[in-house]
Amino acid sequence: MTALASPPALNRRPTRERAPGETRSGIFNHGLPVGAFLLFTLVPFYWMIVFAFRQTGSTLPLPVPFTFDHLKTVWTDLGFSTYLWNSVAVALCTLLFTVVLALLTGYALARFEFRGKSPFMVVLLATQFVPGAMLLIPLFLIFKQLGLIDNLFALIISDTVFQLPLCAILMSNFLKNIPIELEEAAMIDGCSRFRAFCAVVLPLLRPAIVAVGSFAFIGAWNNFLFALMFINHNDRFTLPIGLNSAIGEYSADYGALAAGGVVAAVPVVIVFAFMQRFLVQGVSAGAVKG
Amino acid sequence: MKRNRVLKGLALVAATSLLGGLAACSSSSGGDEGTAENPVTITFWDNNGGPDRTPLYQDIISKFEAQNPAIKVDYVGIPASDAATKYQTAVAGGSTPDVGIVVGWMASSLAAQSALTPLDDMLSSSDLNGHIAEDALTAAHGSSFDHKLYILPMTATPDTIWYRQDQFKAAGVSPPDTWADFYTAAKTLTNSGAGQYGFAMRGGAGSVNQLVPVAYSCSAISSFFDADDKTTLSDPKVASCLQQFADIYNVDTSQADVSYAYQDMITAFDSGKAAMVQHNLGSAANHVKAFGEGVAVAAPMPAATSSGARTLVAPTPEGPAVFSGSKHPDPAWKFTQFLLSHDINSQWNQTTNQIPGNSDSRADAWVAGNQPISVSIDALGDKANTIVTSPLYLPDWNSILTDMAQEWQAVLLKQTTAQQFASDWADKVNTAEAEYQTQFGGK
Repeated sequence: MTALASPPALNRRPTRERAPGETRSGIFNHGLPVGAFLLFTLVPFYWMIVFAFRQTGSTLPLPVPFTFDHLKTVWTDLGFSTYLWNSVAVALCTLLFTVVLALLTGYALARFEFRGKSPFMVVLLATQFVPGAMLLIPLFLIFKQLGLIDNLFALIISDTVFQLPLCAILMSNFLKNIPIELEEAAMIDGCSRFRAFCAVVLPLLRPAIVAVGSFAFIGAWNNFLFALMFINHNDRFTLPIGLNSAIGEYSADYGALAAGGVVAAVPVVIVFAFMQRFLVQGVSAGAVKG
Repeated sequence: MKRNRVLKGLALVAATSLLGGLAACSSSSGGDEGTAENPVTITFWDNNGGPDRTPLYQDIISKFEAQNPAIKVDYVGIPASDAATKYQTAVAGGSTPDVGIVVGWMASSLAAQSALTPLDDMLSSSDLNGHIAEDALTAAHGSSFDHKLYILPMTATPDTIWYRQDQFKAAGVSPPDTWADFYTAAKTLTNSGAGQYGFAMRGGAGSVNQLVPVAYSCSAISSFFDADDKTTLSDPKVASCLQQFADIYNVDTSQADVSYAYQDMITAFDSGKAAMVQHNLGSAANHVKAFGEGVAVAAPMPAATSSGARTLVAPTPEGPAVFSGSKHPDPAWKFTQFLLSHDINSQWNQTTNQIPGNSDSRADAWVAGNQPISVSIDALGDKANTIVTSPLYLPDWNSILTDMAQEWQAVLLKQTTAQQFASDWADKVNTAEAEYQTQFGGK
């Protein structure tokens, strides 16, 4: 009787050593959900890129034959070059104003006790439940009286106003996490309150500023309703208006729509890829405040 | 204390400078006064801005500006889905354009708010007088609350039955000339096992808009209201027609049709899954793109009987309106007339595949060579046919159509009957009509 020969070692597939903490159940618990999430998140981007760079008429699931025609159409014929800069201007100004005002409001809420503070917090929160469409006509009339209809400042102001309450509440929570003793120590050393804030608190708030700024930026970047209603000239429209224009009453130019989507998405994706580390820190710092 | 006062002062200065800066910015964007040396600028809103229409209007505007160097036209393309909201917000805020393209169902509400200028007198003294098609003018008058002319009907696009000529020939089926032909074709061309259906039905958003031509062409009822000013939608013939139409759902149509909106329905037809679809001329370009010229053919809404006479619903008019808030009404009217002039109206409608409002444009060679348009013009102009005008003048008309869509889905799913649906629809229309009569004192 001969013993069964074991297969040659060369044919055996080398087994990868698991990283510390990595288990088979971990792959199921984390890998699969993350994979499924990425599938849902990335598939629309995949199709956007395919449609944007594939010639009209092609049905291949890849951008073949490759073309820049759709991008050229939206950039030159549909005015996306102008829309992009308008969107950048509105989103950056909104970010700036929102962060500055949220810092001031958040600081007051975190550091001072004053009459009416609780009702003020409730009012800040309550503003989040009012949809923008409800305030459209009043805002329109106010901006008209200010002479701001058809002016990008109307968008900057309205976007800032709508982003500010939540951002101020978030900022106050971040600030409450920073011990007041740090500021007091700086003030004992001769700093004014403002100097102490700038020198001691502000550097610690970097993740919070990134988080709040990101919310404000995204909100302004995506705002369609106000941009459509308050602006009356093509050369002052923003990207969401341009994207909606690619969908006509009886037809949709999917190539132009996808190319417009690329123009709208790429700058934001690049910026947020760099800021993602701070963003996660900032959001989690605000979330764990007890 | 002193520091607080200083801070307050700084805050006040900052706020003042911010507002001052904003005001300065705003003042630079206003004002468009002009003379022959300093051209007038009028604002023109396109209700369907995008890759199809924007280049077309830009070309037309450049021609207008070349002929009228003292008038500059500032084009604003509004996404089609939000045009009505944009107009309503502009009216509420008193910031309307000089000229805007208005669809019939928007006109009544805008005119009732005194936002539009009546054009009857201006048209009677214009060179265009007598050069606008009668059916288009009638539809435009019928779309306003007081039956005055508020929009110059630049175009119209009636509902038709689009069918695949090649599939009909191969199966030896008659074109959908009558409703009996339609149902026979739908049945013959259905092979549900192979995913092939005779008809693509709109069961989702916009479904009830398309039921109006179905109801009247099938029942051959000649008026939307009877002598007592009650809608004829409650007539048993309408319910019977709608029930027959609903009964082919999931038999000669796919099961998915219950949720089909415009794009799904057209995609089903253009992908070859359905042999017929009911839609207006606006989808012509999609069919040509899908099959090439001459494969998808348009037929007027089928006749009730084989007598040949049809009952058709007047197409919704669409065209430029001069807004009453315009500071430059004369240049605005000049541009409005230009859009309806022979050559320009031909150019616009040939590009968009729709029926011209200008009667001279309808006589152009390109119209005779365009099967869907020539067939539709012939049907609308045939004296043997009856044209029913839907009550576009009712401010609630569009919302009624939207509200009824869910109940129509219930009919398709056999959760209720077409009789009940027609009765509920009629009740809503009668209520809206009674309110209208009370408010405006008659048509």
